[in-house]
Amino acid sequence: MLKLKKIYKSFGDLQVLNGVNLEVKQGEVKAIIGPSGTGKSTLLRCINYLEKPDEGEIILDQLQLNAKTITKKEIYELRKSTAMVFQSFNLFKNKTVLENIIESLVLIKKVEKNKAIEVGMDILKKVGLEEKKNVYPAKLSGGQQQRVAIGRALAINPKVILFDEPTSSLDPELVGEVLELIKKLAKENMTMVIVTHEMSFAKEVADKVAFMDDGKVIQEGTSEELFSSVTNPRISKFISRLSR
Amino acid sequence: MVNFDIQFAIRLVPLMMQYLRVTLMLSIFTMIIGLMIAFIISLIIDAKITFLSPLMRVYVSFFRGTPLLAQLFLLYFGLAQVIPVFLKLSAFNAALIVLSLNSAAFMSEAIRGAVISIDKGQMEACMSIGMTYWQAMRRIILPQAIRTAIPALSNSFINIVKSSSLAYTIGVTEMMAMAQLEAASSYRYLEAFVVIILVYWLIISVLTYLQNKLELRLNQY
Repeated sequence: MLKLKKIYKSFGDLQVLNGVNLEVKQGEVKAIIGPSGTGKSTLLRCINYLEKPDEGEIILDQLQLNAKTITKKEIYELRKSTAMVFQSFNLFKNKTVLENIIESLVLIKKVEKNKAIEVGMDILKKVGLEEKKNVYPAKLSGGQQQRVAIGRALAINPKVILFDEPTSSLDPELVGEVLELIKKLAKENMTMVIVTHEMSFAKEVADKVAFMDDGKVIQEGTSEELFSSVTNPRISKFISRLSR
Repeated sequence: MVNFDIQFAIRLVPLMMQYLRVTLMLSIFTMIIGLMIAFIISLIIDAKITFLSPLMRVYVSFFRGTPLLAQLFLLYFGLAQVIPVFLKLSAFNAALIVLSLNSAAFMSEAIRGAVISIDKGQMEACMSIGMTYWQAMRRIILPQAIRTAIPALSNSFINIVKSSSLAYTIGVTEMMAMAQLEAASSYRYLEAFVVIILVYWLIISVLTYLQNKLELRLNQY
């Protein structure tokens, strides 16, 4: 369903992505792990075109986007069917919880306001924050903000949700509620790509885990395959350092 | 104490108030027009539009880098000699144009600074849900930036009110012109200028009070 072909990206002299290939199937949850600075987040941002790849192809169902020839219209098309959840939530500070969620419906999808509110309330129910609908993001805990951000992503009705370290800026006691919500979405067969440092979570939720190093996916498999029978010394070093 | 004719001073107050209308009209129109131009300039510079963006930077540099009085004289006396349209311009309108253009240069920098100060994540979130740059600006970035810009914009408005007194030099009969006229005809310069300074101070105090009210209202999120 989602296919990345030979994605290259550099910032100045720094080559961040070195020809990444990745495939995500319908309903699959794919975790991307690896040491810091290996381009995991950049890859995710390329899928949403927040970063423009230098080269490579992104295929999402019938959308075929080549970095060399992509048009503005195609970028908007891509963004209409992919959603991003950020490490630092990035909720719209001047909008209430409900407004954050329905913004894309009203503005981009041109859904009628009443209908949008209906959809928005359903989503709020799902993320468990109905009673916070008229509250501004600044008044919420980090965990609640991230749940709203996931709700905002759901409102796009995306083919795939991209999570960029969704729990990294949360207090430890707030991580659980966000992971629970992601698990719930996994059960509903939402297609997701998750960049994470939570190894136990990756093991538990991800159908496939991709290990990235030096701007490339160097190994991929189910979590058992990747964690138990590690053949690559770089991966075993990374995993042993984490479990210490 | 030198003799300060209190009664003369008090008699001046209602006279000033008649011309307060002109001062306020000039100031408020300037603020409205100036603010609109300022938004356009700051967005053009922020969006880095080719050709227009450097042009706007020159505009800002010119109006911030030359005296307001010189700009006023250049338009009303100078350009009127070569461009016939400016000959037909009333002094009030000439002052309005120059004050608007001038204040826009200052206010555009206040707005641009506030836009820059907004967390980059806000724009990224807008982009990620499929907004265009202009949609993001209108719905998310500017509403937040305006809150940050209010103190600086209030400062600009205060400056506009005071700068409007320069209009008297090209013959607009506003408060300052009135004070000058009364002072000259009665030789009571002290009284006339004490009164006008107090009136200006009062207006600005009211504006500052309104600014605080506005900031409180915008602090809801």
